[in-house]
Amino acid sequence: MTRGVLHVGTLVGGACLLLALVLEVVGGPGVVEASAGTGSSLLDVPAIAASVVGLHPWGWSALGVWVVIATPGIALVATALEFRAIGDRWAVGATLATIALLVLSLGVGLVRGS
Amino acid sequence: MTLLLACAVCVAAGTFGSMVGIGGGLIIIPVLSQVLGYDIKLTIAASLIGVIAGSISASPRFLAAGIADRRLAVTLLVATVAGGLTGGLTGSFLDERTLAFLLATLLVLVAIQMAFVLRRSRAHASKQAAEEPSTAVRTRADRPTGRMAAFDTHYVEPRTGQEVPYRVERLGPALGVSFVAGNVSGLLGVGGGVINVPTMTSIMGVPLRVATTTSTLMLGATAMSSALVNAAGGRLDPLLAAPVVVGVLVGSRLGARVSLAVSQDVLRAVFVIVALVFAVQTYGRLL
Repeated sequence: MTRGVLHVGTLVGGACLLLALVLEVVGGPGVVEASAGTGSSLLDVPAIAASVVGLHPWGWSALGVWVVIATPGIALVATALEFRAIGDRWAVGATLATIALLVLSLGVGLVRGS
Repeated sequence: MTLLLACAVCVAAGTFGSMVGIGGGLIIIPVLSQVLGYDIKLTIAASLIGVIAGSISASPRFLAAGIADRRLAVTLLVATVAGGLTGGLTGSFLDERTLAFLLATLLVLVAIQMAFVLRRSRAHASKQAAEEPSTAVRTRADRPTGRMAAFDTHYVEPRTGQEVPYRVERLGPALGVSFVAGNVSGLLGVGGGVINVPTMTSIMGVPLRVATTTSTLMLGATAMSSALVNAAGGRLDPLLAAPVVVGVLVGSRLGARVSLAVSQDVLRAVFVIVALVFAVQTYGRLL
C-alpha cells in the first residue's frame, strides 16, 4: 500500500509539474507573466483551480507542488495501517506521532503566513 | 535556456543524491543560487520539494528490495520531522549571506565526516560480522533483551544475495542527532541524509546499504515538515519548483537503478569530492 501511494504521488505530481514546465517553455512570456504576476497564494484554491483550467504554468505547478508535498504524509498513513495489520504497536505509535508533527507544521505555516 | 539548464542540473543532482541518500539539495541549492542567480531562500524552498520528489520516487524500489529498514525509519522520523519544523521556522528569519555561509560550512563538515566516519564504520561492520556469522542460528541468550531486541534484524545484500544481520544500537543518542538533522534540512533545504547516513552507520551500527536506502525513505517526510511551513507561509515559488522536481524525478530513478550495482566505496568517494568542490565555490563567492 505504501509503495502504491508513493508511485501514484510521484506520477501525478511529476506529471503536473512537467506540464507546468512545458507550458512555461512553449507558452511564451505572456503565459508566464500572466501566471507569475498574479500574486496568488498557494493556499488560494480558487486561484489554483482557475489557473489549472486556463492551462497556466503557475496553476499546474502549484497543483503539482501540493501533490508532491502531500504524498509522504499519505504514505505514512498507509504505513501506519500496514504496521497495525502486523501488530507492531511501537511502529504504529511512531508513525502516528510523525503524522501529528506534520499537521502541526501545516498549522505553524498558516500562522506564519497570516 | 536558464530553465532548461536548471532542469539538467537537477537531473544530475537527483541521480547523485539518490545514490548516496542525501536528496541532491546540497548540489541543487549552490548551483541554482550561486551559478544561475536564483534567490537563495526561494531556492531552498524549491529544493525541499525536490528532496521530497526524489525520496518518493526512489523509495518504492528500495522497499520492494527489502533493504530499507521501515521500522527504523519511522522511529527516527519523529525526531527529524520535529527538527524540520523548527529548522524551517528558523530559516525564515535568517538573511541570504548567512544561509549561504551555513550551507558551505555544512558541505565541508559533511565531506570530512563522511570520509572519516565511513572508514570507521567499515571496521565496525567487519567486527560485527565476525561476532555474528550471517548463517548462524541465534540462540535466545545471544539476542538483546527489551525494546532493542525488536531492532535486531537483517537485509539481503543485492550484489551477493547473502543475508547480512545487523543490530541497531544507541537509539537514544541517534534520535538526538536526527533532530539536528531535521533542523539542518529545514534550515538549508537539504534532505538531512548528510547527517542521517553517518549517524546510522557510525552511531547505530547499521550497514551503509541499509543506511542510505532508509535515509532516502525518510527524506520525504523530513522535508515535508519544512516544506509545509514554507508553502503555507507564502515562501515557495511553484514555478521554480517545477524544473527542480522534474529534474530530480528523472535523476532519482536513474540513481536508484545504478546505486544497487555500485560499490559503497565509490559512493563515499564521489560524495566527498563533490561536497568539497561546492563548498570552496560558495566561500569564494562570499569573499
